[in-house]
Amino acid sequence: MTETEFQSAGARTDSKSETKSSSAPSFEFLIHEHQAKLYNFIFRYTRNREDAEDLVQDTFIKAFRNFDRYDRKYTFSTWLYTIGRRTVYNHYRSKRQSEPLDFELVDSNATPDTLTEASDTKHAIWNLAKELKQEYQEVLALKYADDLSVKEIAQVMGKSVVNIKTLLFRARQQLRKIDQNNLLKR
Amino acid sequence: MKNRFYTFLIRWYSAQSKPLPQWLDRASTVDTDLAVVRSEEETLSDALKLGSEPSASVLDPVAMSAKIMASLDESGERDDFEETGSEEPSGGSVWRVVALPLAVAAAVAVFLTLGVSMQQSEGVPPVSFTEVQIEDVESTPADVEVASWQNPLDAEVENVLADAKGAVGFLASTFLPSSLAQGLLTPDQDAS
Repeated sequence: MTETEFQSAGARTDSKSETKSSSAPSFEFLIHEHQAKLYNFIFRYTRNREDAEDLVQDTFIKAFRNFDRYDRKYTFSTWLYTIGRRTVYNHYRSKRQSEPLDFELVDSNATPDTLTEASDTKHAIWNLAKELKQEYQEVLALKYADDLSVKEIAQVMGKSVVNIKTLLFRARQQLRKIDQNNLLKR
Repeated sequence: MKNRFYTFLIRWYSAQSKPLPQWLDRASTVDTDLAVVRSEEETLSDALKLGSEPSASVLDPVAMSAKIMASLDESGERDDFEETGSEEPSGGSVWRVVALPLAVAAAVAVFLTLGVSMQQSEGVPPVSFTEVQIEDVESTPADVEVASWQNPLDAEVENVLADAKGAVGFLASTFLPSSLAQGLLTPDQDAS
């Protein structure tokens, strides 16, 4: 594990991300670059800010320790999400074994004020999505909130690409079915 | 029946955010039912898209970064990272394969050099070039045995170098274009 490797990973983290200064300390740069998105991602599972922060920290430390295993065909953020998701599942498995992990599509930035603005179609749709089963919610969040490709979602969720395509299709189908207020009809 | 199939396809492509094939695109503009389906799918996709720019107030990036670095400092891992991370060239994985045997070879070579020079400086008085020549001429059978003796460390160095060459050859033949790889692997043949 070397600084150069971190730098190269940081430089190709995301096509959408900003380019980095080569003089910046690499791992700190990677933390700065990805922590907020990772936090949002993990917060959707924990719905608890302290737990989310701890798990973000654990995820980065695991990433640091296992950097040799980073497969460069995926973006660094995808790899982080994969570790983050496993960290969350392991955390809850050890903490409260009997309780299934209850994924919820909560925006970590949402305040009570913003949540009451459900007249907005986006909020209304995402509120509807909360009625979907967890797997569907997860795949929708990864696709539309985290903006991952189907291939990246497959990597994060540990499923095949075809499986993810099917999940996306069914999730949207279910969403249309429960859309009794015809939010989606123009 | 045809429309149901087309509807399925429009929804399938939309779920993956993939553009429709031309023939389906045409069909969905000509047929009003399909146009409605397509419009609904676009609305759904737009509604689901979140501008997930995280706000800085949620998480203090400096504090989080400091916490993580502190954890790594506690376990001493960051020091290792900074010590090893200064000079490595890019192209990490290739370098990693070759670096270990080369490092071992270099270490052995340094060890041998130091060993010889220490022997010279400790026990044996300095010998001039002419003296060595005379001794060589007057060598006894015992000296001949000594001359034929091969240091096992030399053999080890040769093995390590052979392994390193093999690794470089394998990497070149696997990852480089064949014309370039051939040139690298058989420079003598090319020269002749």
